[in-house]
Amino acid sequence: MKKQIIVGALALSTVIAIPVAMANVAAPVAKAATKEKVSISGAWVRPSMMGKDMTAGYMKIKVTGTSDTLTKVAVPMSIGMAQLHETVMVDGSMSMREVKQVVITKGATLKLEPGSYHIMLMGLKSPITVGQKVPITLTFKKKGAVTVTATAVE
Amino acid sequence: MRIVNRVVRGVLTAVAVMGAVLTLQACGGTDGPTGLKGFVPESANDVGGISLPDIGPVGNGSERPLTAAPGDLLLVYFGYTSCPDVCPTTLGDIRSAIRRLPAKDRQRVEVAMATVDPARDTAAVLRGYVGHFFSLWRAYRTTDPAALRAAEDAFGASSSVTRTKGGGQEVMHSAFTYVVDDQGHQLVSWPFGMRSKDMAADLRTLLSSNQGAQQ
Repeated sequence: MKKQIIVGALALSTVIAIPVAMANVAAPVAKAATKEKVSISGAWVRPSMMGKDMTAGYMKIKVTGTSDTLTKVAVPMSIGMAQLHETVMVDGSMSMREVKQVVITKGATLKLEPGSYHIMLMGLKSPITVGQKVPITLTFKKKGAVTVTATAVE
Repeated sequence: MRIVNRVVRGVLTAVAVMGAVLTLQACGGTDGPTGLKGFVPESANDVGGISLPDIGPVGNGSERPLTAAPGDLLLVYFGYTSCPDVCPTTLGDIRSAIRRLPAKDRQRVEVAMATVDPARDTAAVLRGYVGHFFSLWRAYRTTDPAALRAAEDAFGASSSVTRTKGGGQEVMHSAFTYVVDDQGHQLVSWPFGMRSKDMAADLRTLLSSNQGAQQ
């Protein structure tokens, strides 16, 4: 039993070494192979905690028509600054690192979710409270800039 | 594989599972309640000898063991408040799990966060952070690195804080939640990504098996 668990866990862990673009190739293929199309859904941010000038935002980014590359995330200066981060596990410890770009293959969905990729919001000028709308602009190599509104929810 | 499949929520969780499995290999024996969703140490893991300053409303800065009140359960998490992703996700999941319990059981579960980043987590910041999530809580904060390390070692946790070139700090930490009884026995541990309903199921199991101790 122990051996089985280890083998299974190791097999799964190797997936993390595969770039997200490859890991998602099993996603449904786009029906209409039009030009680049980016669909963003489920955008939300976590309200900032008392006394902390940072938090995180999440969403799903689906690319159809062609592959594209997410190169930048931003929020208005009046809110603070944003970076694309990834939570990673090294030797059993979790930490975060900045990610400069992520390739999303045609038909794939990049999930920004807890414990994985997320938009790190830093240097907040004022607290982000429940229900607040936060505009987040994502820049793609082909598609260009796309702005979505993320709602702050617990 | 059965255990792995049950708790996997994304690739990252799978890696967390691997870490847990490797940790458990060091243990022997088969004690502990059955039917739990999290990881049960294969031998009694006693953390009853560990104490740290609790700056929460009850401890008010005094040294307190990391054990539950009689008949209750203590959930222990090593984290830090500048953590925007993993820590609030975990604490939010724990809060959801506790809310799933009947009212009488909610009073028997206390949550303790021990900061791994005491330099930035001042007493005021840490109190505000933990108190935001829970009504029954402790906040352990020591500025003695050796004391923190000893506590982490007892639980099987680990952490490090290093300064980056840009003047920032990089914090690495294990992200398990440990469930401890009033004797200091570590009953089960939950990896990051454990669903709140599974946490709640474990709490129900443990609280019902701990009824005798409450008398």
